[in-house]
Amino acid sequence: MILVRNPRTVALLLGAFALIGLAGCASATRVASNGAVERAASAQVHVALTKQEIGADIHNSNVSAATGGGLIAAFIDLGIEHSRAKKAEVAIVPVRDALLGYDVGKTFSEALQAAAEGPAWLKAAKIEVRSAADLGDQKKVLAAATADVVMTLVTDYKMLPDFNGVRVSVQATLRPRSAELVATAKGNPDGVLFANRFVTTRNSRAPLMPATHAGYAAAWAADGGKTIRAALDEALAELARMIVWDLKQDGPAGQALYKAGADSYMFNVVDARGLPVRGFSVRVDSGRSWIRTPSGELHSVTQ
Amino acid sequence: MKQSRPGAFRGLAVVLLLASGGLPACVAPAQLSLAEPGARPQATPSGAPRVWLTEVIDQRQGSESLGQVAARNFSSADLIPWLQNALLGLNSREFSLVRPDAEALPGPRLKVRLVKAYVDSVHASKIAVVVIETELSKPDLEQPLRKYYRGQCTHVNWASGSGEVVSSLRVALADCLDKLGRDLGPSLNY
Repeated sequence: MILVRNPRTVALLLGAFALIGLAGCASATRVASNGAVERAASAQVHVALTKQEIGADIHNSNVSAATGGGLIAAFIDLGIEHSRAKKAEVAIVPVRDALLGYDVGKTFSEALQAAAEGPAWLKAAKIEVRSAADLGDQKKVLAAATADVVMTLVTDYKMLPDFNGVRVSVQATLRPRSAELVATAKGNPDGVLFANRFVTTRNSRAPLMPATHAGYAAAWAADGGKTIRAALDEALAELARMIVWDLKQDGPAGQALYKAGADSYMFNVVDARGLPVRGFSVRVDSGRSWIRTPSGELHSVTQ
Repeated sequence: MKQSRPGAFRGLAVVLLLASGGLPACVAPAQLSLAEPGARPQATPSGAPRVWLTEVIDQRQGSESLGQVAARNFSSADLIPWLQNALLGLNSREFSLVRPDAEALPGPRLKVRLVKAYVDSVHASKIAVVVIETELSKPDLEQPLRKYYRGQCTHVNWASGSGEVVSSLRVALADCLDKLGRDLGPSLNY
């Protein structure tokens, strides 16, 4: 009631919220190490799995957006999305069954250490695969570590809403432990030495197949899951290459946004919030383009 | 125009401080107690062939974590006792699952491994999944019969509450054991 009666307070609060929102939009989420990672001698690396099995995704219901909001529209959206989620969870079962025994953590760990150009500390590190929930308290993890840096790679993988592709993402964070690196990272957001999100997608190449959830799921799961396993192998190996490459890339000063060069190719990708964002090509690797978004995320798309 | 009241800002600051103080609690996983209070294994039907439940083990990647629903982590330390009790309640006319005692007679033996047990969310729905692997050995079988059984359910996620998550996991386990129960009888006569 106090806020409603006092227009000055309302104006100040609205201004503050707008500023907070704008500040969030105007800075990069990537933290570049600017060469500091090369000074680490040893590392403790954790691959953190957010899921025990591949996830399903669905399309948003937009009744609220189309009708201007309201409780009834929100309930309609809830009902539609719940129905879609139920169908997707049933349809994905063959893919999950085909992936029983497939070890995402082990595959990714091996890919990280096999990646050419990887730093020596990464190749020498003993990579531990854990549930992301077990690594929730990063302060404890850091306190228990003995190496110069602690790298956490939070890995997620899910089918695209139409099941015509699989998206694999990694949130990489490198935290310093040695006094020298802690001093270097001072001033970085959360005191990290490096942080970025990496995303890659593999599309279904199955020919002559009904374009339904069940049709795509059957194609992914066919032959003991050969297709989905190969797609995940490729995606995880590429993510490992993207991470080791990106560790060495500098960034703009003061968390400024990344800008495309004059001759860059532009691509549309989907960011961490699920929103379309325009990025620019920074490298071509094995026939795929690596796209940098303004916030610094690195995405891989087919050329 | 009225003067602005500094108390309004002070009040807001206190509320925000209290709210931020509660945030670290969200990081620690909510421990779920899955055992149903007062639940007892179903009585063994007389005359039903006995299947010795020799082993129930956790084959997941060394963690009590059950995943997260809408950014809230869940874990449980009593998954195996919960699964074992549910298995012992699976008796039917075709079979009765019993723990082997010292004088266990030769007969069909069942090993059960918990392969997956997790909760997850897809938009405003919460998912619960339980996957077990069974290994049935019988004197007339050269190789043990291995099979996977998957149970799952998708419910609306109201508040990511512990109660609703436990309820979803119980439905998923019931679905999984229902499939095992329907399959085990014919497998014994295979």
